[in-house]
Amino acid sequence: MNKEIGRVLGTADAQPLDFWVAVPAEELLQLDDVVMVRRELIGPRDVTLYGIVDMLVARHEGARFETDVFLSRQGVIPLTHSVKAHVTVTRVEPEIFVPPLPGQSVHLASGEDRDKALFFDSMTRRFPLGLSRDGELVYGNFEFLDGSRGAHVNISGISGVATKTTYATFLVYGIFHSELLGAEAANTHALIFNVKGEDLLFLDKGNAGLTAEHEASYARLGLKPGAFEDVAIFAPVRKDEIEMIPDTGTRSDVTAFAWSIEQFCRERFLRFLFTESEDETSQLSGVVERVAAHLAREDVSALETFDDVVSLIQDNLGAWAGGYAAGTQAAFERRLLTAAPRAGHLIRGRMEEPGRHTIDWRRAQVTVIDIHNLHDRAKRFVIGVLLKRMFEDKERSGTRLPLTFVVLDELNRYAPREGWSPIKEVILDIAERGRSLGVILIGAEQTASQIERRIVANSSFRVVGRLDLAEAQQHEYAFLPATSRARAGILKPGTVIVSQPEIPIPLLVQFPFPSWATRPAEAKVAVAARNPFPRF
Amino acid sequence: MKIRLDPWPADYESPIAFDDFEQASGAQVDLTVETAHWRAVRPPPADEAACCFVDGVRRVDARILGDDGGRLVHGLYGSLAAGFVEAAGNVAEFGEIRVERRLILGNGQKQSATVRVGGSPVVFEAHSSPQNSPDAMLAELQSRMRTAEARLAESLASTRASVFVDGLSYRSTGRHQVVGIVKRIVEPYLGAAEFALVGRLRTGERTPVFAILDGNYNRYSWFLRLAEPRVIDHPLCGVVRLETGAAIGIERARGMADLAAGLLPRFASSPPRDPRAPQNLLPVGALEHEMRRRLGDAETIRRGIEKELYEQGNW
Repeated sequence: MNKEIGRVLGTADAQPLDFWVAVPAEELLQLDDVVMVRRELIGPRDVTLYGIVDMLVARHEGARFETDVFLSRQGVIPLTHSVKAHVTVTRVEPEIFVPPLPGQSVHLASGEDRDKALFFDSMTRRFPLGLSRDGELVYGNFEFLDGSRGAHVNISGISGVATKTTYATFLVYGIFHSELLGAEAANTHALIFNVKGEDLLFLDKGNAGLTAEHEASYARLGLKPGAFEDVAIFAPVRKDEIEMIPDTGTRSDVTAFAWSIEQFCRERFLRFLFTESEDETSQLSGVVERVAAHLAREDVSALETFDDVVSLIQDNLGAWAGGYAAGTQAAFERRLLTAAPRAGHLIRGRMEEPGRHTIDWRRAQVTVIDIHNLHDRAKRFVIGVLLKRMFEDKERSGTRLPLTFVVLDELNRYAPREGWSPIKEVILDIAERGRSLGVILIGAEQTASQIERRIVANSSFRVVGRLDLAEAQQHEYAFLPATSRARAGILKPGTVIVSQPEIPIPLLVQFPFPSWATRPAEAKVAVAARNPFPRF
Repeated sequence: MKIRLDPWPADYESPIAFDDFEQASGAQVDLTVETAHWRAVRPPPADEAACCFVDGVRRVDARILGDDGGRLVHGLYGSLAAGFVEAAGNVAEFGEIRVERRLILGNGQKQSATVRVGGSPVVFEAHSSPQNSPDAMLAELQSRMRTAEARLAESLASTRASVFVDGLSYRSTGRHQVVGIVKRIVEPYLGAAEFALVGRLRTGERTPVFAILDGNYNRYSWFLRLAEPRVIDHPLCGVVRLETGAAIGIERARGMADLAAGLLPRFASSPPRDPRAPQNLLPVGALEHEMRRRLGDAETIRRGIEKELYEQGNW
């Protein structure tokens, strides 16, 4: 039998969807606790209301003046404590919407009752979202992630607390390491962009800092702690080097990536070099399209560097883009020349083992692409090219399964609310059509109010980590009740609030310390000692 | 003539209710039982002492008129409560609060009534009075309340060192440790010369203990100032008179007087908190509030009585 924690009180309106509970002061009831109350109706019918505690209020009963508290502490006025809890109803079973009656006893919901309250009982396929504050498992309905009824995750939160990317990778870890995917697990892929820091470059190493307590958390989540298996890590090729050496900081045993000039021209990557918001004029994109079309037909086998490509374009610009005004041509040329030194080194004429250095997202289960060292323009180029290619591959295969997860932080830079760019188009395409093509975007940003509305709108799972309080008042967080908004301002690292379609109230969940390394010091096997030049 | 304020609101009877120093009751007063020197006594403060405050409330839920074979019978449905607050050190807590409900009928009539309010029965126990007037019925209710207070004080006095009872209910306890606090000065008991000291008392000071011997209930008494009056208030405001049974003996009476003087100013109320400040002590005010709450909602109970009468009648 579940424990009685209080009774429905009658000094405030009890309604079918929310009510207040008087709680004995000595009873420990905290925010996020799941409770239930049963109301008997005439006839052999009972209605059970399940809900979550989202407000707790304590007062001095009998006090009429603020300073009565001092007199009470001096032993002059007798005052008693009252504690009341507000419950937002999550589920009514069966669906007969009646208010609970004041005086009815309210119980903590545990076990099957808790599963019912949070709809876990009706989730046929579910994945771990984390642990509730009382250490119970919180599930997400996988049908709202895998595209069958919905897709995508959007995570907002201030930077610097390592919550967003850690939670994104935790979700991927949970999905890949549970029984959920079954036989498809081997063919399911994740494409993870490391946009800042080096946090994601050690996914394949176990975390040496994992304690027995952390392991217990994983056990409660039904997961085995460890590193990601089958990981390919790519870093951009170093500038001004003929050899293909990855340009990274602490980790050097990763594969350098670059594209061949041939590929750049044939697959018309040129437009991904023009992704600044100032590059938006239709005239300019017309020139870009025209030049890219010509490049695709040119014989470029003799070109060795991207500068050669630039020269080729400059030599022929008049002919290829003759129809455009000289000013537009000049603008194009100017932008091309600015892009060249920033992203040009990623496009090369001759490469040893081009297959090894080309990113193929199907080769490993998890592909991490490090772009944190690149100039902004080059970052956009890499993201644009990779997502476009991956999306085209999925479009060609035409089936939703196996799924591909894309983890991308700083969405506000790549898909800002204002303006248009080729990369925003790709991301928006994933948000809107990825559901049917099995491309699942796990996007993150500091402020959801600054990214394209349709991307957030298409995300079934909305997650907030710690938020700036002014940001929390934005319309984008309307799914958070007032108390959750206030709490978003004080969330600790490792805690997020998750909203998912079936559950009418966002849930606060804690996710465990990563069992994979997020910096060299944590890596179970020292990586720096390895020979970075095994092939020479 | 210098005019001063009586600070209590006009809804209440005045705290100073005598006009001359004639002993209306004809009781004998002995001013020398404690000391031959009639002057203010200032005992040391007694902060840490534990004490209990007993009080009662009553309410007429409905007045009724019965018809007993052509004879008019007065009566009422009444609720009353008696309870206490225990203050010890830094903790003041409500103790037991006993609620009673009575159907009081005049002219020797007796019957009980059960009224349903919501889902629960409210039982008014039968109580008969030989008299038969509305005022007598009210007096009967008041006396029931006094009895309840006295019983409670009695049971507390067997385990507690000091028990203060609001008003004169202490008299029926037969216990020695119980002190009655009289908020209003209805009779001076002192001569004009001695009474002048009462107006000059400072907070925490008391008059010497004097004996009141009326043959009916011999007792010790003293005046105590709880708080300083404002300059516009009459100097007698802020003073209470305390009483305890004479059987206690003068030594213990003096001890109780010192204890009360050291203790009670701490519990004095202030005008924003209580209209009858400072005489209605803070724990007592809180207790009254709590007891009225325990009596239940007057409106709801009255509705319940009306419904009950309607349902049992053959109209």
